[in-house]
Amino acid sequence: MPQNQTMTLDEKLATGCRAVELKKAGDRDGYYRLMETIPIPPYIAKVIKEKMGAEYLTGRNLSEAEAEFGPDWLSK
Amino acid sequence: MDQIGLVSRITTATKNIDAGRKGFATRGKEQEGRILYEDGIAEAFSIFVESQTAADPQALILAEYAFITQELQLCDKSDKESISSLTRAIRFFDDAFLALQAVEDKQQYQGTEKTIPHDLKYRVKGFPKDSFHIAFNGHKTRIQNILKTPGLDPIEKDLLKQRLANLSTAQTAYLESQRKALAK
Repeated sequence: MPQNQTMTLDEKLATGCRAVELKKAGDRDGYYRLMETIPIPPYIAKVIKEKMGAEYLTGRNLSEAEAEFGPDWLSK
Repeated sequence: MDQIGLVSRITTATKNIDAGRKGFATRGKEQEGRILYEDGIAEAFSIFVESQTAADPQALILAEYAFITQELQLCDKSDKESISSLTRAIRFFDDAFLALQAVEDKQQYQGTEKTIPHDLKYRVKGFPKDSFHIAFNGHKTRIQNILKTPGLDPIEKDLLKQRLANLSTAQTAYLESQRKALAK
């Protein structure tokens, strides 16, 4: 799945549950890799940007944050 | 504490809590919602445990701030009291972040220290009761009050107890930062 793909709630639930199954099977790396495909909630992306810096969001799924705050949000 | 890893773990936990809560509220998705919510809470718990072990004020305040922000976002919009309390907590934590920056500048902080009365009311173990201490003291009271709520989900109760312990750890670590900043 492309890095900045949006997801419906159903897709988030299905992906998250698959990730949890990986964790239960002992594959923590697989769990975190799959979880990274889910968009970060915009209000959390905003916290990370403001309190840590935009660089900590590079490479993460910001599709929902960009939809809420604008496509250039991270660089502003 | 590894900052990039911390961000990954905070975003993971909050994603699952967010989707989990929304799953609960969606007919037919309650079970998936519960799985994700419990996983999110478990991830949050381990973040708070590791932050406490690291005794890193930056990690401790960031973790707490992220979850307060999420609580406000997911709060029932008709719950005016909680919205007010959480909004206030966020404002106080915004000030605490500024204090955390200020204490890193020895000269600046030594100047600030002179403006804080030496009366015990304005001091914590002899050090200024600044925005960091004010935010954390207020938030401790808030969490202690929530813990008195009957019928709390056991996993949420455990998380709140860990967060409460972390607040004390953060203040202890911050006192050390103040001590270093004010050392001649």
